[in-house]
Amino acid sequence: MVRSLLILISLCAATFARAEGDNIPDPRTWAAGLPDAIWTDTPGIVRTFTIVQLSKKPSKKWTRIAEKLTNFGFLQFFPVDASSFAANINIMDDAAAEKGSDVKVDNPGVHLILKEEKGSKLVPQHVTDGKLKSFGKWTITKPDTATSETFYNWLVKKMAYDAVVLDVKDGFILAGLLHAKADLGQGLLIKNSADKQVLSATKIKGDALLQMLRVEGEYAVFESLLSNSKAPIKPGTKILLGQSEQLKSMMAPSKKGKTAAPAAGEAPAEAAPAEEAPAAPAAEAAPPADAETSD
Amino acid sequence: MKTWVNIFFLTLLLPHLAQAEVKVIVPGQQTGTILYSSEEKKELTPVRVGQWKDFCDKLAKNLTQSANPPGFLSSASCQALGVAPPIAKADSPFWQIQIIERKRFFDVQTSILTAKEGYQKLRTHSFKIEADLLENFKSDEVALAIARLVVESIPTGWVYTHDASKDNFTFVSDKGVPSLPPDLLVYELSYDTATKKWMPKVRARLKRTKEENKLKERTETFKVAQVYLPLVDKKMYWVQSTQGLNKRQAEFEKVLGRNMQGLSLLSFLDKLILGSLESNYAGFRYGKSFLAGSSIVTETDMLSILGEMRGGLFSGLRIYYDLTPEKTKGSGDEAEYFRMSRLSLGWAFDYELPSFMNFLVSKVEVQPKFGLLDLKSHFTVLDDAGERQSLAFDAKNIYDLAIELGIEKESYWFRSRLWYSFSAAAFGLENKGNVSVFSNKAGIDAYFDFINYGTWDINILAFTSVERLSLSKATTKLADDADLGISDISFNLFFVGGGFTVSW
Repeated sequence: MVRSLLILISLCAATFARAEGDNIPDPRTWAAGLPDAIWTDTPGIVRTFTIVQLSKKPSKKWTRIAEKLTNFGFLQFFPVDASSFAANINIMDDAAAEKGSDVKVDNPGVHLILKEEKGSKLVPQHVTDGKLKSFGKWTITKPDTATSETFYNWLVKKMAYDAVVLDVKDGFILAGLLHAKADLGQGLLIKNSADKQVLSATKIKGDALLQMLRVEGEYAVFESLLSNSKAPIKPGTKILLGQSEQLKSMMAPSKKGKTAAPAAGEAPAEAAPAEEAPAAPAAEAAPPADAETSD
Repeated sequence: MKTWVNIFFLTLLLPHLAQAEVKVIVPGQQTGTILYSSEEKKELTPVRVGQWKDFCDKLAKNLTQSANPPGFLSSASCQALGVAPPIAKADSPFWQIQIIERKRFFDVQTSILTAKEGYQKLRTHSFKIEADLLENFKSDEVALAIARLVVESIPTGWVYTHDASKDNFTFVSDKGVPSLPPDLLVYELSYDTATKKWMPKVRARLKRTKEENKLKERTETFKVAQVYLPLVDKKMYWVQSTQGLNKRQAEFEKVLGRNMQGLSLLSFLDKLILGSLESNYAGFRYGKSFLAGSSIVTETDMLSILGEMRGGLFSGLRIYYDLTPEKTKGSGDEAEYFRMSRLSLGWAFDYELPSFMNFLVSKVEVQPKFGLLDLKSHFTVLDDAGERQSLAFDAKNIYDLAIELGIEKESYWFRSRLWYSFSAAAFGLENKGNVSVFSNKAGIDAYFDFINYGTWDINILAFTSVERLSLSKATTKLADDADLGISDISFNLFFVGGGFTVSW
C-alpha cells in the first residue's frame, strides 16, 4: 500500500520537476567551491575512512581493498590515520624518532575507522561524542567476501543511507553519493539525520521526497518535490535513493505483510555470507514499528 | 584578597597568551639562506671559498620551488665563507640550512626563524666522513641528495602547484638520487607558537602511477588519487610522504656514500659517542694509596685536577696537576716525609681504529707531555751493611718530559681509558741536588654519565693507577764512605680513587 502510494506520488512529482540543463548547477564544480568548514566541521558528513592495523607486521590485504573502495563513491580512503600524520611531522628530535613518537596532535581528519581484528575481521567505527563506536563486523571467510565491492556494499548498508547533503542553494540540494551513479533517480530525505554519521535502519523516517536533477559520479544535485517540513535542510542530512538496496530492503514486505526494516542484529539478505551479527547497541534494536518509512 | 591573587596570576599569564599565535606557513613565500661553519676554523683559502660557492649554488637551486622536483623555498641565498649571516626579517618565517663541519663528522642542520621563537632547530642529519668535506661536495648528485633529504625531513615537505586541467603531472629528476615517495599527501600548514606544534590540514592525496628510467633521467608520473578538501586551481600547497618525515635516510646515505669518501650516516647514538669523543672535560679526583708496608709512601694520598680539550680550537690540549700532599712519619733523624706535585701540559694525537675494531677500542692516543715536578722527601733505608741510612731528595721545578700511550673505548654512557706513560725529570733551575726522577706509570680511568644539563654533562670518574718511581741524585764523593753512600731509591705508588668531571 505504502509502496504503491510512493510510486504514484513520485510519478506525479517528476512531471513537474525541472528539466535537466535548466540552470542546474554542475555538482562537481559546486562541490569544489564549498568552504572547508562544510567538510571538516559538519558532524554528519562522513567523507574519509582509514584502516587501523594493530599488528606489528600489517597485512596489505586491507589496504588493497581500501584503495579500491574509493572508486565506488563519496567515501575516500585516507592512507594513514590523520592524527598520526600530524604527529609524525612534529617529530623533530632525533631522540624522539629513535624511541618512537609520543607527540599528541589533535587533528581528527578521518571520519570513519576500519579497525582490523584477529581472524581477518574488520570493525567499522565512527566517533560519537568523542568516543569510538562500532557498528558492524566484517569477516573474510570466502573469496567473494574479500572483494572490495562486496565489502563496500556491506559498509554502505551498515551506514544505512545512500547520500549525504553537502549544501543547499537556490532551491537545489548538493549531495555526495556513497555509490557513484550515472542515472537520475529519486530520493528520500531522512528526518533528523543531519548530525548523525551512521543511521539505524530501524529508526528511519522520511522528511521529503527528492528528485535528482543532475549527477556527476559521486556528486548529485537534487530538488525537493514534497516535504513534510518547512525547516531548512541542513548539510549532513542523509538521503535514501529510490532504487537503492537500502530502500528496497526497507520497503520489502515483512512476514506479517507490513513494510518493515530488518531488526538490528539481523543480517540483511544482500550482506556477505561471512558477515557477523553487527555490534549495534541494544538501544538501537528498536521494534519493527519504528522502521516505517514516511510517505 | 582572592581577587588580587587572581589578578596577579592573570598578569603572569597575559604576556604568554598575547604571544600565542598560529602562523600559516605559506608555500611560495618562504625564503632562506645556506651557511657553512667549521668547528676547527679551517683557513679560508680561495680554493675552499670556491668549493663552497659551487656546492651552495647547486644546493640552493635544488631547494627552491622552481627546481624539478621542487624544493620548499621561493628563494635561497648562499652565505659566503667568512661572512656573517644576514639578519632575517622577523615578520615572515626565514629558513636556514647550515652545513657544520666538525672534527669527525658534519651536520646538515635545518632551522626556522620566526618572530617570537627565534631560531628553532628542526632537523639535524649527521654524517661521518673520512676526507675533506668541501672537496667531497663536488658532485651534482651530492647537492641534489642533500636537498631531497632536507625537504623530506621537515614539516613543509616541498611545494606542489595544483593544476586542475591535468589529470597527471610529472617530475623529472636525476636518476642518481632515489625516486620520490610513491604516496604523498597535499596539505596546508600552520605553526602554533604557543604549543610549538605543526598543524597540517590535509586536502588531497597524490599517487605515483608511472616511473620511467632513462640513461640519466627519471620521469615520475603522479595523479590526484583522492581529494578530501577542494583544491584550488594554480594554488600552491605543501606535499610530503604519507609515511611522514625522514623515512628514507638510508637511501640518501647510499647516494652520498657513492660520491663522498668514507661517508656514513650517524645514528643518534653514534653521534652521541662521536660527540663525547669531542667533549671537553674538566674535573677533580682523589685517590688513596692501597699499598701495604711501613714506608711513608704507603700512607700517601693523591689529589688531581685535570682538563682535557677534545673539541674546538684547542682540541688535543691536556692539562694535569697531580699532588701527593706531604705526609710525615716519625721524628728526628728517623723522620720520613714525602710530598710530590707534578704540573703537566700535553697534546694528544689520536687515531681512530677501523669500524670492525670499535666494539673493543674506539681510538688510540699518543700524548707527549712537558711538566714541572716538585719533590720533597726524606726516607730512612737500610744500606747493604744493614745500617740505617737517611736519604733526602728535594727539588723544585725540575723539568719533566713524558710520553703517554692510551687506548679508549667510548659508548654513549661511559668512556674508559687504559694508559701507560714513561717520564723522566731532571735538570731545572732550582734542582741544586741534581735530583732526577724516572717514572713508569699505568692506569685505568672510567667516566660514567651522571647528570645532563643540555650540552653539559656531569660524569662520575673512577680510576686506579700504579707507578714505579725511581729517584736518584748526585752524591758527594767522600774518600771514606763513597761506597756506602746511597744515591737512588725506587718504590711503588698505587692509588685507587674517584672523582667527578664536567664535560661540554
